[in-house]
Amino acid sequence: MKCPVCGVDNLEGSAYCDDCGSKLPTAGVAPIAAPPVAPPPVAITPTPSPVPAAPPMGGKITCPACSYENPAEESFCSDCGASLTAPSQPSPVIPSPVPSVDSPPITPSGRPVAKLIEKKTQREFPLTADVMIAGRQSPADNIFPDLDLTEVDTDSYISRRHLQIIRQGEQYLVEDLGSSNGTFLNEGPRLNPGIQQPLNNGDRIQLGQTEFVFLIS
Amino acid sequence: MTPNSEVNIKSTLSYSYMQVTSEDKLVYLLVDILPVAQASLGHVPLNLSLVLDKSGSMYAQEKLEYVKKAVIYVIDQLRSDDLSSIIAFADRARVVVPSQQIFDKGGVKNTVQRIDNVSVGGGTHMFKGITAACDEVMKNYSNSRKNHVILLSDGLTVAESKCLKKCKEESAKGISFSTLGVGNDFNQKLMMDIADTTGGKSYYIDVPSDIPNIFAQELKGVQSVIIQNPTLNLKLSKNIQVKRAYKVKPLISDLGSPQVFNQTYSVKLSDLQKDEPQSVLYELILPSRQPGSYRIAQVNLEYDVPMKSERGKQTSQDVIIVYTSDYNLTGMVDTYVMNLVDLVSVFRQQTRALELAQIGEHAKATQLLKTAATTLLDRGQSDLATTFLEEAKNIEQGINTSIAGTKKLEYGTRKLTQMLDDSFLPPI
Repeated sequence: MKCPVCGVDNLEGSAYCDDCGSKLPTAGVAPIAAPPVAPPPVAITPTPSPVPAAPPMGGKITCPACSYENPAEESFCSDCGASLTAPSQPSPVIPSPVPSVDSPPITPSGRPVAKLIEKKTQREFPLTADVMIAGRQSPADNIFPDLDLTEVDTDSYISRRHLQIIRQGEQYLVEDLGSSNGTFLNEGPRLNPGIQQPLNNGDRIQLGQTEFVFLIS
Repeated sequence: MTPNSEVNIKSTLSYSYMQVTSEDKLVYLLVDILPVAQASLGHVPLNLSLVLDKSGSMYAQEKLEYVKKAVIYVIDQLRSDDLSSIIAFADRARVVVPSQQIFDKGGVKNTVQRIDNVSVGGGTHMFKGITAACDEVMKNYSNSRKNHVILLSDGLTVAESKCLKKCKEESAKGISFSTLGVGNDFNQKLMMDIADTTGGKSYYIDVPSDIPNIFAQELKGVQSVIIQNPTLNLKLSKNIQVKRAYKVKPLISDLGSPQVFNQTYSVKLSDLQKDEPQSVLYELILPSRQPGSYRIAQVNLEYDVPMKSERGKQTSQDVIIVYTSDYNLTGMVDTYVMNLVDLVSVFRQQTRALELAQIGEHAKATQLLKTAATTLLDRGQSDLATTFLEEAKNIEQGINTSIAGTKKLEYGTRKLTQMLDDSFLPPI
């Protein structure tokens, strides 16, 4: 997390800049339109553990995350700390992007063309494929997003893989891909990554500090 | 929470839900040590020594008169099974009252009244006073007592580093030191270091008439010790690091760069007094992980209960965090912990500012003090904020930081967490 005052890079989650002492945008919380900040219901939240499959008496239980052998009565791995009781929670999110590489190019005749328009520069980014990833280019990491937003994001608030826009028939969907600074739809709360939200003509989409309008022409 | 013991530990994270990202993240862990008052437990008898500066400057502003008053109060408050001794020092040290159970309180009070006649010269040689006090305490040393020295001085001593070294050595044997600095001429760094490293408290007394109050406060504290030699161990899960750690209650102090052995970071706490929680704030660096719940650390407290002759008791607790992608959960922040984080940041900025001012980095020092003052103003600490701004101005204009100002600054900042009123106290 870059300090807005002095520019020093601080560890994500830090409350104050290590160098100049300025308060950093609230740790772990979306910078804009954050949900009301409330203390969690309990300070420490053990996973409501489904009854573990009864391990063999006096046996060992192997950590699913790091393969460390733990005594059967442990509920967390003594080595890496992963939960031993819950089957490692199925990841709720981030389905790998649907085949995007070979999807049929561009608009066959008669199909409406959707596009993103960056508000300040009025630059247009046409959505030419059924799945398009938007982000910042990073040649060093061999990342060349379908919608390259590098030039409209001078301060690098947009992540390299920031979001994807998916077309399903006539419906367009937006999905944040776990971006650092978040995606906001019509000034609403930050989108949960991995969750697809329907897009309507004229919707405003904010990526980090840059705002776009979604248009179907 | 481990009920039914003499002490509870409570660990709270700044957030219990952690956003799944590919980066390392910082989380704040607060550990509160909450002694449980048990009337049936009785009390830990003292083995106490009072070390009194009797240098020439102590005659100014009636300081010595207030000290006498304070010591007489202490004598009155001692319990019949307490042991105590009194040392006067200046160029030399003299044992005014040798270590004993004081039966003839009147006689000892008379001796204190006549302390002016004790001839020790006029300088400040604190090391000699400390040595004499330790000798008296060691005569009757017992691990079922609170072995403690209260050290009062108003000046700069010779051989500062010898003083600190001696106190640290004695601390390893089981003696704690509280320091009372009077007026503007003592070295606050030395007095704070002695107290911080030996499990005592450091006080700044700017007005001599406060001397009796501070003595009373300190005595009440040591008389209410119920748990001794507490050590707080943080056993870290793999790939988790401690970036920094601070004692935050009852006073703020920096615990120095964390030394981790066998994945465990241990901190020695001061003896626990009834009604006085102690808290430690850790900054932990967590790696990125898959969604799910993880134990990032185990908090363990080892301690002795002298009144039950129980040694090496332990209580432990898991610290668990949930990695998730749900912003509704990861947006939740523990406000109590974040309040303490704010105050520690003020402490850190103040400490760094004074260090930077020392080496001539005036611009940065000024800026840090101003930033900290803003946080203080937000918290309604306008007096302390004013002190910060005055010092910032002094530094900006190239004036050396004022001696009185820095004392107010440093002692005031350390006490900041005490202003979190009851409504902020963590539920027990």
